[in-house]
Amino acid sequence: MSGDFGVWLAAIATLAVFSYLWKNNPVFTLAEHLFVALTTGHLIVTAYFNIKEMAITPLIKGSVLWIVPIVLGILLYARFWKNLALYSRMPIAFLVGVGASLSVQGQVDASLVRQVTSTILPLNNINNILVVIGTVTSVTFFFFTVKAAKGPLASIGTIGRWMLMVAFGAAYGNTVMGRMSLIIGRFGFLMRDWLGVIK
Amino acid sequence: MTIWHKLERIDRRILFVLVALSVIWASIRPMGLPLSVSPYTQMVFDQVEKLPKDAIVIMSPSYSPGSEAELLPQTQGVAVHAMRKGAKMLWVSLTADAPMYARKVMGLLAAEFKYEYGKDYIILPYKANEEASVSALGHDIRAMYKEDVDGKVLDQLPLWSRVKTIKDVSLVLDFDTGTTMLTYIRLLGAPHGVPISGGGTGVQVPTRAPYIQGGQLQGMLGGLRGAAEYEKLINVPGRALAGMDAQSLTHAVVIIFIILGNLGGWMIGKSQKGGRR
Repeated sequence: MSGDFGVWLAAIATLAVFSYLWKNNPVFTLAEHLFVALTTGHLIVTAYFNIKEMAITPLIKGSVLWIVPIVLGILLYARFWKNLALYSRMPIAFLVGVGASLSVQGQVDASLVRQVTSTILPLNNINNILVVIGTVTSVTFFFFTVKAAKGPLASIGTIGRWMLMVAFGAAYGNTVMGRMSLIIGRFGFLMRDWLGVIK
Repeated sequence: MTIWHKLERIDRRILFVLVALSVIWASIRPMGLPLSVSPYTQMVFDQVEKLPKDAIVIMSPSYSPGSEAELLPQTQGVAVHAMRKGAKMLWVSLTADAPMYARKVMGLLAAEFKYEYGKDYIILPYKANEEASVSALGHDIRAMYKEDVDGKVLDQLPLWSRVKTIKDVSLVLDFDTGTTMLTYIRLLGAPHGVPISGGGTGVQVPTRAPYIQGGQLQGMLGGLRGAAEYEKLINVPGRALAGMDAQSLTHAVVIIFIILGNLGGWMIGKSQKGGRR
């Protein structure tokens, strides 16, 4: 069994969180509040050091340009005063503008052209056939311009719906797998690092 | 209440207890269930395997403690393989926790592979805003970083002298829970032709598959299973491989309960008028 105080603390916190699976209880509530408080504290400390190391220190060393993001950052808080709220729009506009321009970069090639071209395939194996059928029928399912309650378009749409169901099923299966991995990780910690019953 | 009603309304706590017992049992008494390697994992392995000696790779652990159970074994497995191939590593930090994981992995492995800081690997500091950071990596990596994570001047580190542009990087290996891998694809893969690979949580696999299909992503490790498959490929059994028996057993428990619950619901529906409740 571990003699490390930190490991004990983490193990007790893990068990306190797991206790919710039985029913809501004060131990879980305490762990929940501790988690929120610690996360907030961690974020504040991380943010403080990020601002200090990435902006304040270079500014003190003589990189005067850092005054621009620092002022823009401070202006974000102007929204808390009615008569100054207008100025908070300046950093927001800057953030949205930079974000949009960077997002657009490569988007057309990466998320549209390459995605479309990768579905134009020779129908010479089962995988390619499934990709083409899956893409065409799924896109048809979202074709709302023409009312297609009956007829071939509706049938293709139905196949598309099944294709989507299969995709959602795969996503759900992977979600379950991911959650189980987290449980295994926690149990691994309890049994290896805390109790020392496995290597 | 019939047996079908009981089956449909099984107390969820029974499921929790059985899942917990399955994990404990499989961890204490591993069964060594067979594990096949998926094509996506093989693709990641092949990318690292074909790296020439001294190739520079970007390692990007873009996750936080919440997903450590899945992604840390992946990062470790791929790092071991890259170090065996003699690759030089630039640890890029797009999340605030990334430097911690870079230090953790290199702390475990650097001595074993005789990797020297500055000569064989560098940990770069966290930069806020992943879009802007990845874009800047592509445009002028040297202008983006002047100091390492500890404030050492990068120009004094021998490895950094080999990094002139992003074209000097042979492969980007990102391990993420969010969007960083897609940002790398969009801002490094598409415009600069740098191969992107790595891993993510199990949940992300279906959403990333189209990018693998499109040749934009060179494979992907999916969750703990992906990590276990990689450990098998590099023949270094670790925590991920050890967790696979538990994963299989818990999945079996969940499947049994899904079948039982549905069987109960189906039988109740059948016994009622019209066949539907």
